[in-house]
Amino acid sequence: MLLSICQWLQDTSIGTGIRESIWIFPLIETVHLLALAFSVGIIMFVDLRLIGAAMKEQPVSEVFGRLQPMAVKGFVINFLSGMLLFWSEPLKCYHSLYFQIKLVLLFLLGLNAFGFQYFTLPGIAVWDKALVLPLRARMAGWVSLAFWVGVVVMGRAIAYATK
Amino acid sequence: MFPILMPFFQWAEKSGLSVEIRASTWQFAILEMIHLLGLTILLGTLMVVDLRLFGFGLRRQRPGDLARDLSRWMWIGLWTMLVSGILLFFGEPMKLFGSPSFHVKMLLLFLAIVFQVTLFRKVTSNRHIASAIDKVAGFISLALWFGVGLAGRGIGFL
Repeated sequence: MLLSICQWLQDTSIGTGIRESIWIFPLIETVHLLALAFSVGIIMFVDLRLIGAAMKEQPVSEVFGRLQPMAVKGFVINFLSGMLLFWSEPLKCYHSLYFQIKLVLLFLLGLNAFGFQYFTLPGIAVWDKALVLPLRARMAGWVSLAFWVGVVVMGRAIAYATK
Repeated sequence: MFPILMPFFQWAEKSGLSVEIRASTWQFAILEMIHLLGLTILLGTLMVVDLRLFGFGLRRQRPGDLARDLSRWMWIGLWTMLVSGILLFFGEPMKLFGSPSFHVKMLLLFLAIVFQVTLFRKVTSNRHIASAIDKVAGFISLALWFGVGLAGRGIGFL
């Protein structure tokens, strides 16, 4: 089922067009790469604040409230460019273990962000200005950092997929 | 690149380090991954600081204070990139010698580092209220560093 969808995507004119164009694929890849600074590079500072490694004098609400919306915009760029890259080589991705791991990590990152936003953040008044945050908040930061590192590493590894 | 540098690239290509790095595909790949993580830290920090110069993001702090607060992360990112980048260089010196993207990247890298430790530092150490100069400095910083990233990705193609 998934395989036949990938096969169909692979043969669409857009998929073929991106794959066979000399400039479009590298261009999208470059956008996908540089948008890392905008998404992961920014959300990283929210995580570093949560684990107590950066901006400890700033309230968590300030760091999260200001940086998270920016990082989400960056992530939209990553997501859209990533979709186009996937569209151009769905079969390669389908067979790539690294791609599969990357998707699982992204899904878990989504859960982590959801849990933080809706279950941990509502209690922020108590620890907004604390130097050491409650375990739940620190864990959310560590999980996010570790999994984003995994996403970047797996993303690079896809290019090394054995044929 | 300048022909005068040719012997250096040839020496690098023949060095034991180069042979060692080229011995396995995965060694090179892992260096690339570290290089990429360094990029995320470096460019991420610059985004937060430079966007602040434009008036976006962490507005509670003055740009200069924010730049000082985060400078440690900029240097962690930069050193990660420099060390992994030098090792990547040893992985394919002669290819880089003939790569226009690499030449452009080295030029932009030089300009970006010089700008960051001179004019940029001067602007962000300025404790006066925000001015147009802040925005110009933020723009030049982002343009130079994203230029380095763009040229770096270009090495894979040109």
